Amino acid sequence: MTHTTRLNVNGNTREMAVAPRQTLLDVLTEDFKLSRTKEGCGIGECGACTVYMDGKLVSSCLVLAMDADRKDIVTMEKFTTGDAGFSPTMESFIHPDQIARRANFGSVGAKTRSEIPTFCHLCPAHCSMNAIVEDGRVVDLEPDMESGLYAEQCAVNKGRFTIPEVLGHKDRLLYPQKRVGARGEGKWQRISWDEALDTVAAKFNELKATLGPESVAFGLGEPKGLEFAFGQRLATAFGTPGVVTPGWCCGIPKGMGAAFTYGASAVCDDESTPALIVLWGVNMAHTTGGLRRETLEKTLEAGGKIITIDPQKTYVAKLADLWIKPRPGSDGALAAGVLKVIIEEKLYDRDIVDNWTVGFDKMREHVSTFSLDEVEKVTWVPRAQIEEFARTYSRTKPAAMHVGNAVEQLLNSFQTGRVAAIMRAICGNLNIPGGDVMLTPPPFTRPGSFFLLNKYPRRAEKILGDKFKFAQRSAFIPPHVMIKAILDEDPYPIKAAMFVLTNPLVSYPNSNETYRALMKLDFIVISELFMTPTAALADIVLPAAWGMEHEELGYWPGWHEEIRSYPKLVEPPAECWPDTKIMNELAKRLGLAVDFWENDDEALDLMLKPSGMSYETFKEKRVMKPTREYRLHDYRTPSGKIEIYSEQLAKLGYEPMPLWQELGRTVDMPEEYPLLLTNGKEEAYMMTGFKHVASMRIVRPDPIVELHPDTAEKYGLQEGQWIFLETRAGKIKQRLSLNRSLDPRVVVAAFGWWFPERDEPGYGWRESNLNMLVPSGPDYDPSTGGVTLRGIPCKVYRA
Amino acid sequence: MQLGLPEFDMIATDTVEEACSLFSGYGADAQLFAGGTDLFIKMKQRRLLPRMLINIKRIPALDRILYDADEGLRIGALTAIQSILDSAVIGEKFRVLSQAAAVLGTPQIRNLGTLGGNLANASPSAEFAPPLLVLEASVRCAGPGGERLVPMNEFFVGPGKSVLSRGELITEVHVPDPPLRARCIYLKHSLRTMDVSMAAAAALVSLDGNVCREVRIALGAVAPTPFRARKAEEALRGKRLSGDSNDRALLEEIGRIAADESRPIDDLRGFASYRKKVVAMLVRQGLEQAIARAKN
Repeated sequence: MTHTTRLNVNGNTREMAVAPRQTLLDVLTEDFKLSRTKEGCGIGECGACTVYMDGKLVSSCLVLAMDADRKDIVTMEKFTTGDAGFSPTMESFIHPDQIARRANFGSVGAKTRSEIPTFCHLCPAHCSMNAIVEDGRVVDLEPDMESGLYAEQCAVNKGRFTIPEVLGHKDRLLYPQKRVGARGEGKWQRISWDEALDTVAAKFNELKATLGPESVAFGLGEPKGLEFAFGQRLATAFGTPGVVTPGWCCGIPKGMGAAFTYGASAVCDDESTPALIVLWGVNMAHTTGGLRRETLEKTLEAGGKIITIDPQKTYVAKLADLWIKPRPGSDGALAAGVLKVIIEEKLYDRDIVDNWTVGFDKMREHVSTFSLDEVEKVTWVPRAQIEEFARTYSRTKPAAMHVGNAVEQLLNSFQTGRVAAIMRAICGNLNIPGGDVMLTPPPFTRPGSFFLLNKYPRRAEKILGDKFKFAQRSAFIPPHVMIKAILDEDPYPIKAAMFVLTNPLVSYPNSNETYRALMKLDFIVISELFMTPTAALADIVLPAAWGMEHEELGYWPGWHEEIRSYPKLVEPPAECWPDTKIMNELAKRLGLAVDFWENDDEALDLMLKPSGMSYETFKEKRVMKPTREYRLHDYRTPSGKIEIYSEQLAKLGYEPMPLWQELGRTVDMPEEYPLLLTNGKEEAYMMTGFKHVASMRIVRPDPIVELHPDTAEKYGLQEGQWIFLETRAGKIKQRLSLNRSLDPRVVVAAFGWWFPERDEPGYGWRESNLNMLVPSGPDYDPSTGGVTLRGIPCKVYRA
Repeated sequence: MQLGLPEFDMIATDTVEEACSLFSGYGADAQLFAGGTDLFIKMKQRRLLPRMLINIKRIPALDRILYDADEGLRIGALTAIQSILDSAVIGEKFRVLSQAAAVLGTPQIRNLGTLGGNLANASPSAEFAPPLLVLEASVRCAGPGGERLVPMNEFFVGPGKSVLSRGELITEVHVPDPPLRARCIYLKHSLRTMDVSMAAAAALVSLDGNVCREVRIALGAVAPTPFRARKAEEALRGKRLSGDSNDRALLEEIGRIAADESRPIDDLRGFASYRKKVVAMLVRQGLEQAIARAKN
């Protein structure tokens, strides 16, 4: 049943048939292609979708399109189209009542109040914000629209709401604790910092003396401040190669793909306006990456095109001119198909191919060995769409292509990254304004030289042998390697682990196996903000101070090539210490003082040394940005050319050229698991963290699994019910939502779930946690050791 | 990616009678739809999945605010929260309702949400419940069997549950004039002003000289339903205020009694023990402010 509705938006009248379930926001996005008026929280809390309807401000996500019939709709685009970036006019729509967003921690009538410019440290966008501090507490983060530094509309208000709430949260860890019951029983005793650090140091040094330093492993989460660098440095100085980081599924595969093709990574050029943006496995309206949201806005407003590749109809798929809906996990095959069309239809830049490539003829020969029908069969993408993608990408200049983390979580992520790099380079989109550009970082100490000290080689081959060479080069081991060393003592036993702001029980593939490994360890120490399912299994739990509670430098995400200062704004609660201080003090007790400092803050000056600035001076400057030189044909490869065929790779023992055999590979679908499981990150949270944050939890209270209505009907499932999802690794339950835009063969589940509100030691980590379903091998990306998180055979049934 | 709305059909009506008959006819598959600010959230989160929405927004005469000296105040169920905030007569004679309207959500929500929806949703933290409880308002409900007037203190039954039966809807809220010279205050404690309350209190006081003649206290968000704190009221009723520091001790004691009457839960926003402390604080502050105004 549809209703004919006449919509008058900013003076443009359009008559259309709308279904009852379509909101005004749905129509503004999909039909009017408005991109400043955005989807944020979807429940009327964040203000991102605010419009005037007959003169009254309303949340367009809560208004039915049919109810807007014949009403006068005015959006922020009417006043801001063509303006660069986020502006006070937009803010006046979104937050007409600023003050209502200010946290009230029980102090009525604040005595002191200050407004301090800093950066939000929650998501990779790292927007410039003004922190509002009242009586020693951060009560709000207001967008900075004055300094000219990068600050975008935080659609879901994730940082603005999460940071004050976490800083003042009732569940923060406040004191060092040691386990007094059985592992995981939830019995703790408060201890002093001295006792905690002496215990850890004694255990680690005892293991070092008996089994060698490699029997101690480290687990690090996404870098926040310098804690990741400190963790790496501590592992290096201690002498263990066993450091698990998210590198295998975030950044390394495509970074290496670019490096072996043209010598360095390139990111979308935000300084200019692309005529086409390709968004491949990324929904940057919510999870910003190497491309800013405002670049999307200015591109659309300038009449540019969007191609989105995603199994889900994400926000950026709704805005797209071409939405490609591949089979989860088949991105490599899709890339191969697009490259085939570009080569066979001669859509590439002839000059570049003739003068600046190595191995083009071999590749031309190779692409003739598979057909587009095969590509269509593997990817489920109609041949016409593959051709349209290739033709649009090669003919529209400049074109930026952002390949998201989803494409880094495949069995062939590296070679897929290689194809994307080749596409960029031979279509002439590399190092041109509005294309993908290489950035020259400002002068600061490269994080790698901070954490990999020349005098202590990492000796990753001890644990990785001759496998996973890009993991070895990138200072990490894949999670399954650590788990295997713990469980099977292969190639040697790991007996103790230190985790820093990471939750392996929920974030590593195969949670059951991870659980067995953690239970088998002799000793676990973790520094955390909250008690998590992983922390609940530790021997020593250390309370960490968070951003804004100590002086900090941020260099992540690395691809932005910038460094930012995060001043200390408030005291940490009770006995919380910055992670950097924890590791610095631990290093002293481990006898590693020579590579650390009297005070961990001295490392801030070391990071800035190449700039000639001290941290105190830099704090005034706040940020150093990279430069972009748009150097055409600046290929930093051994041949000085675009290496479609790479001798370097051949020498390392890897396929020198991306091949269909590898790219077209998909997992077998056994009869008992007829569906394919995938997932997208939830906009309300950061990975597995912050389910405690009340204002985010109301946005997404339950883990939601999405199915096509026909699939639900076939298996007798009703919307709203909790259903079981099962793979060969395990089973979980999530709440069912139906979504007609999905392929009926696909299951989209929620990632990262546990329930901090549960009064039980494990916080329900088995119940809805996606990694219960993810096998941890033995099928790996040969270069990084990554496993696939996309397109896992699965079945669904009633819970 | 945020969840869209689930699929449903929509039927609109412009009479109360038809709304009731449609609503009872469709049974458990139907929901009434007015502002949508609570309903659509539950639907997007797949916690409520009606197949049919009955749009009652176009029923005339339910979106109005009427006042006369004999009958008191009548607010139509479809009145937007913002209209309550903007109403001169409410601001003048029933200011506690303006106070509640001012702290409900954001302007975007106040322009959509309705008073009837705020009550029918029956959240323990419903912003209008404590003020309407101390004003001893009644809810006019229309159903297939006719009309009835439900006193506010009988309206809520449990979290998300009211006395409304299938096929029944709220048409109007009737608020009698407060007792002579009574003054009334609504205070809410929440993480942010726009958020749902962690605890809320309304206090009504009228003075006879220095004697507290009428005392009414209602609490929100600290029990399965909003409720009147009768023991605390009783403890203050008839008490003489000394005008010195003893009053503070007395009102703190009343706050403690009210806190004892509350039955809050632990959740992500706060521990139950913290909520009890907040109740004591809000009740004391609310009474102090109401008394200060009653003295003038």
